[in-house]
Amino acid sequence: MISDFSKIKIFGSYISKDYSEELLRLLHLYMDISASEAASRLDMHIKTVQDFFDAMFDVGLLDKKEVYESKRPYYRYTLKSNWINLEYDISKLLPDEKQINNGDIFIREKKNANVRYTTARSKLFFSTVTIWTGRGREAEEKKVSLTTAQGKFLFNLPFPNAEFASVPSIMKKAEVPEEHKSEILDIVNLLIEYKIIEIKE
Amino acid sequence: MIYILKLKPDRDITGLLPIIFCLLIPALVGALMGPVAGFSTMAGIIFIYSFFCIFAVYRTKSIGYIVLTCYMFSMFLYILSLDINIYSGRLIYQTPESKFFLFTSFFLALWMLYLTFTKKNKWRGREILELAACKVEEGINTYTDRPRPVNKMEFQREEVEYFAKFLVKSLIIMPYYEQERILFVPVRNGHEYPYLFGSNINYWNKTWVAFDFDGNISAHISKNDYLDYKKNLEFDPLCEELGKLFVEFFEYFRQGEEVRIIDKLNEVKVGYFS
Repeated sequence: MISDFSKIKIFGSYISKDYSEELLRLLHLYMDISASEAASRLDMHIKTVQDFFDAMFDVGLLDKKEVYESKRPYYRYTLKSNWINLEYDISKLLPDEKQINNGDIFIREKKNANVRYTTARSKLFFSTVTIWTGRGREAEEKKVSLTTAQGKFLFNLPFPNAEFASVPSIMKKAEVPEEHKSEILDIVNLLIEYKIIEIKE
Repeated sequence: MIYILKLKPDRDITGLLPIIFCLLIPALVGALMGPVAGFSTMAGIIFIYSFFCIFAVYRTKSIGYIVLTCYMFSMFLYILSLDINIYSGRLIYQTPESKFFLFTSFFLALWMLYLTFTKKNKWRGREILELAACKVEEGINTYTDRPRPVNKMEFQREEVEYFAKFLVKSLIIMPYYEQERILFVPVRNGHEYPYLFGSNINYWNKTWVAFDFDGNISAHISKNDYLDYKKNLEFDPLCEELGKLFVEFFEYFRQGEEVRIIDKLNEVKVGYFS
């Protein structure tokens, strides 16, 4: 079973190749096969096949065995199983526990933040937030489209001179359901990173 | 209550431009082409103004604009009915019709004067900004171009619509109707022309208070209006006070005490023309 995200990425990039289906079929048909045998069988370049087999070995789909015949050593590859099992818990991609607990911090908009909020037409929430970083020729604009929950949250973010408020209290004021907390924390972390939101010391 | 005025003095002459224009152009035409052409130009300008006034009446239903429109038409008819003879010793002869229109114009001018002194034909945006700022302390670097949620209350859509009609009739705000809310934009005297005659005004960037039909009330103060205060004020309380002021007005309106709204605006001692 492939459950490591870096291996899933490698697997995904190779399995999407046009020739992957043919190579897997050969691996299934042969007890073991070398890259040169497979390349000659499918009329492909040996390097292409070698890379594919190595990648499948790295992700754990194949076994390889070094063999010596009357020439220099080479590898023969064997399919470990007829099944490809991918399993991954996407929640592992969330920030670490420390960042998740940012719900406990007290925040407000930072003074003189170089930012512009665009309000959704006819609604009391923001649709985008545009952040400017750098000065002069170095200046860059980053435009972030917000989800409705994020837009409502930022609409209710305390002003620069207002009292700091906790993330849950702002969410409550903005009537944002608890299940949106992770996306709220994501935008809060981004805006803290860009110095748009300040945290109570 | 005595209010300390926090806005800079109004030295804008935009409000006087139509009058200056109405006098200057005919005077120039008269000097170049003779008195008949001058009077005709004045009549033409007044006639055009009267149509603008009709549009203002349509937008506001205000008694001030109704009287002004009548005055404009009366003046236009008065000038038309004058007998101007450049070849006689006396330039202008009053005809019976002109005497009648002179009387109606004089009567309407007196009425307008009364409306001016009772501030019934004055846009009240300045008073709104003063009332919002009266309890707010000084604060540096507090401005943000974000609207602020102020309050949540229960009301019917029709109530807000009637409230908007009352406020515009009293020349306090210009309402902008959106699908799910109404924005009240306070209009200052002398700055009303774009709101009355502009077809595509970017009201979103102005100072406003919004009542949405879910009961949310939010306020926004434009950078220009904020900089018009003599000192930088704490922005968060300023927005909150602006929103609360409209909530207070709305409560008066619901209780049938509209006159209290006008009384409160009259408490702020700003000039008749600012």
